[in-house]
Parts: sequence; structure tokens; C-alpha cells
Amino acid sequence: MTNINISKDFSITPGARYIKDGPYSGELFREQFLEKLFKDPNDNSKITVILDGTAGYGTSFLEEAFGGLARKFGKERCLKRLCFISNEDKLLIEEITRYIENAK
Amino acid sequence: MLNNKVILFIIIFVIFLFGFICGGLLSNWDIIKCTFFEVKITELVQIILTLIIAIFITSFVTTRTSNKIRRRDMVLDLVSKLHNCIDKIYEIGCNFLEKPIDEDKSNILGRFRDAGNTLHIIEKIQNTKNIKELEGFNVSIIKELFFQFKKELTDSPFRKDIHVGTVISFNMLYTELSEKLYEYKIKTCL
Repeated sequence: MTNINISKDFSITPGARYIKDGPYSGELFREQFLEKLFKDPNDNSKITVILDGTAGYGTSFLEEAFGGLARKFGKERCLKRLCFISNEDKLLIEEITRYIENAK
Repeated sequence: MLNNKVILFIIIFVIFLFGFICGGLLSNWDIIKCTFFEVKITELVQIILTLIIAIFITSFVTTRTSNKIRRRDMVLDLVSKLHNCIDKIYEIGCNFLEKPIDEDKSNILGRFRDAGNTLHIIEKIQNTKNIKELEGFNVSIIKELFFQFKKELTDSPFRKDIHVGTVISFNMLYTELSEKLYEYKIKTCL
């Protein structure tokens, strides 16, 4: 099991969608933290993403990080492996799940 | 705001006054005055019983009414809090779409967090408690509009990629969301 604490391991001010849009983008987070954990197709261990402690998340960041991951590695696998902790924003997990489910 | 005990006292007093006036109007004082202060024990018991029943009925009715009012106020407070957050996001959002600055960005995200948490509380209350006043509040529609509203402001505008279509869509979603919240608030007040 892997834990990723976005505020501690990445940034307290997550940015926009693409790397070209500025620092701490969703694309950068996906590439740096998530994709490497999904490379092995036989690895089905759980990944816990702790979302608390940041200034907040824009749709662009969330969609690119998690929706982008679902586009690359499949929705089912993402939903199966990813767990989220969000005590500060109670709707955030539902929002992320929507982006994963609606990823095209 | 009057508390329950004061309301109860006023109601009992009004009932007593009404009974006193009715009694005075229906009877002839000259005839009854000599025996007016003579009280039989059965009459006393009757009066006490009547008073106990009257107090019981009034307290039952006022408690029910005040609980209903309190519940309605609580629900309206929550919906108004959500509405205020949406209004504030719209206000900051309009400035941001006109002139994107980083300070507004974190302010917008903070407000979205507050609004999301309020919406979550409303949903939780609706799912766990059977509150009649929340029956007309369609959380799934409001939530859907809320996510679209957030997407419109924090997707391409956060990438400093703002089109006229984004601004129009953002305005339309705000109007729709506001309309739904007003509609519910008015329905609950009536």
C-alpha cells in the first residue's frame, strides 16, 4: 500500500491542468506520482491519496491528474486501486470519482 | 423572538380572557352574584381538570409548531449559506474572468470548499433524518449544477484560457443555480 500526501509530497497550492500552464499542474502530479505506480499491470495494491492540507483543487488539476490516469490505465483499475482521504472538503472525493468515471 | 413559555402564557391568557368575557356576556350578574363565590368541590375539580386539559393541549400545539418553525429555519439557514457562497463565488469569479490574479484563485477555491461542505451537510441530513422541509430540495440536481459551475470557473480559466463561451456558460449556470435555490427557499417559506 502506498500513501501520497499531496500537501506534503507535492504542493499546498496545486496548479492548473498541463505543465505548460504553470507550476504544480495536474499533469506533473500524474506523471511524478501516479503513473509509476500503475506501470506494472499485475500490481493491484491500494494507493491512498490524502487530499487535505492544500489551498484547494481546481477542476483542471483534478481532471488531468485522475481523469488523465483513467484515460491511460482504465477507469476500473483506477477506481479499484485509488482510495482518497478528504476531511476538509467533503465533496472532493465524489468530484474526483466523477472525473475518473467520465474520462474519455 | 418570543420563547415557547411566553407564547404559551399569552395563549392561556387569551383563552382565559375569552372565556371570562363569554361568561360575563351570557350570564346575568345580578342573579348569580350572591352565589358566585360559593364553590362546590365538584366544580373546583371540574375547573382544575379543564385547566389541566387546556394547558396540555396548548403546550402540545405550541411545541409542535415551534419545532416545525425551528426545523424550517435551520434548513433555510443552510440553504441560504450555500446561496451566499455561490453568490460570493460568482462575484469573485466575474472579477477573475475579467482580470485573472492568483489571489482570487485561492479565494475561489476556498469558497467552493465551503459551498461543497454545506451541500454535503444538506445531503447528509436529507439522507439520515426524515425532514419534511427538505423533501423539495433536489440535492442531485443542485450538486450537478454545482460541479458544472465549478468546472466552468476552475478549468480553462485557471489555465488563463478564457473564451466568451466560458463567461456566458458561467453566467448561465449561476442563474440556473440561483433560480433553483430561490425557488426552494420561497417554496419553504410559504
